[in-house]
Amino acid sequence: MSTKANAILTDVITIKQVPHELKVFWNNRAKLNSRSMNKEIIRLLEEERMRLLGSTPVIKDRKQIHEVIREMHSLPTIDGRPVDEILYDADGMPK
Amino acid sequence: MSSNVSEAVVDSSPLMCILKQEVACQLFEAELTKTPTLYMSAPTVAEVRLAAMAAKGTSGLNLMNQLIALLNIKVIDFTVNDLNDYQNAASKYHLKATPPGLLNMGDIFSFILAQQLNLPLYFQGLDFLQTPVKNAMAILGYEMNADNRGGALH
Repeated sequence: MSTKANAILTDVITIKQVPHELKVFWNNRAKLNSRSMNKEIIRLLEEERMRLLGSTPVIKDRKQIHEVIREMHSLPTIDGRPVDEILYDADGMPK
Repeated sequence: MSSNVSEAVVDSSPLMCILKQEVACQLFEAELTKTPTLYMSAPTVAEVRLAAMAAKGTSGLNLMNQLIALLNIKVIDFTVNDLNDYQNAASKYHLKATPPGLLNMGDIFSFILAQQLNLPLYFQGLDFLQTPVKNAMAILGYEMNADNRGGALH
């Protein structure tokens, strides 16, 4: 891969009106992690980005879901009572 | 029917309705598949695994685990921080509360997760109807019959 392709574009952002306590907290965290405040904030933003991307809804496989349910229905029923009766007594406590 | 529930909590009852092929099985299958983001409390997952094993044996248990995975249900931990919410809900809605509610020990895990996340709950039966929880199927326009177990109409 060429050097040009590896180059990372960077930008500058300025955050205004940061509450003092928040700034002190993250400044201390940065020191604790042996990072500059700048690197600490970038790490935080990157982690949040990964979290959001990771939580992107997955397209569910309807066909596979239906197939699993069809298999469920093909199984013999061992205990046909409602769940409440299988697991709990009349007072709603575990049997 | 197009889903307008984008996130919801799932109780064990819709999954057991599906497993046991009860009347509302197809409705729950369709809506749980359509809802993009679903959550279950970890104790509720334990409950439904136990119930599936009791109802349909080890094969039923394995298929229930597969279904939960395919529906992409996110399992949320129940921790020491949730104990007060559990106690508060139990003192209002558990069968042993005064006056007695309709929820059993397991129902309350689903109830508090739905309340904590402020999301509707997929459930079957009457137990949750006397609580402030939002009924996902009702939001989607389903009118369940008297026991809220099936025979749903649009």
